[in-house]
Amino acid sequence: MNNFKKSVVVTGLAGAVMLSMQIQAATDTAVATATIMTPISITKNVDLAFGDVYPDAVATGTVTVDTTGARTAAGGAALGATAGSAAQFTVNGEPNATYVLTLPAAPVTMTSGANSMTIDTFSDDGTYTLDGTGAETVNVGATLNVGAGQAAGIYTGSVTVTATYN
Amino acid sequence: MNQKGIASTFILATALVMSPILDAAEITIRATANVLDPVVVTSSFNSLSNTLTLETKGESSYSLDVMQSDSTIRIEVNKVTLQSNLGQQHLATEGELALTVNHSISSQNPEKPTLTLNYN
Repeated sequence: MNNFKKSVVVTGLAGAVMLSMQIQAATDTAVATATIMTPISITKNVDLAFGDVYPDAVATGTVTVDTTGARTAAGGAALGATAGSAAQFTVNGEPNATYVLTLPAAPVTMTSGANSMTIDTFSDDGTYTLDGTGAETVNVGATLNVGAGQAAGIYTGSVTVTATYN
Repeated sequence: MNQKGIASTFILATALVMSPILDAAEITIRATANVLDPVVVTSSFNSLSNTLTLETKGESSYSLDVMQSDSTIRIEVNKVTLQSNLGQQHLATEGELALTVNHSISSQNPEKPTLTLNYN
């Protein structure tokens, strides 16, 4: 085979290989998506207040603030003039997202100097679903346990509330 | 030793630690309560009208000396929500009347309500 014929054969083979490679190669487009969730947050609007409370000398009692802020006394406790208020905060996040609200499971201690009381039985009126704007306002109530002969004073405590996306 | 077939290089390893995704939020709420002394502020007895007037706060217990036997005492509480059933009490004999008043003082009522007892 002379050189001309060899060149034709080599060129032909190379062309066939290239054509074959082009036929077997294909491209496609895959769509990658990612949803960036709006971080969940809580903003406090109102603190929890039990108002004025009168203890009894010998009997224990309770004062309950419900989620509307209404107070009721039971046992040896009586209500004073200064009203109470339910705690209120706003949960913000992804519109229409659902979340879990965690209230204290154990009693929370309130102190006034060396004296203390506890609050427990926390309740809330949340639906745990953020609205179309990504917000929900939640009220929290609780029960104050007043001891017999509870010492007079202004008692304070801290209640931690957590909201978590489902 | 033939080193011609050996090549080496350094690879830089990097890692970027991101802030955690905020899928939870926490808030601390302040809780307050004002405990007041449940004391009888004043008490007085008007011998002319047989009226005993007490100014009270909260729940209080009283022990009253009843001087008139076979009588009915009318108990009136002004400007308080009376939780005890105290409308009237008949006293067969002279003696001591144990009386417990458990009342609520709301913002519509004064802090020092007046409890009045009269012989009928």
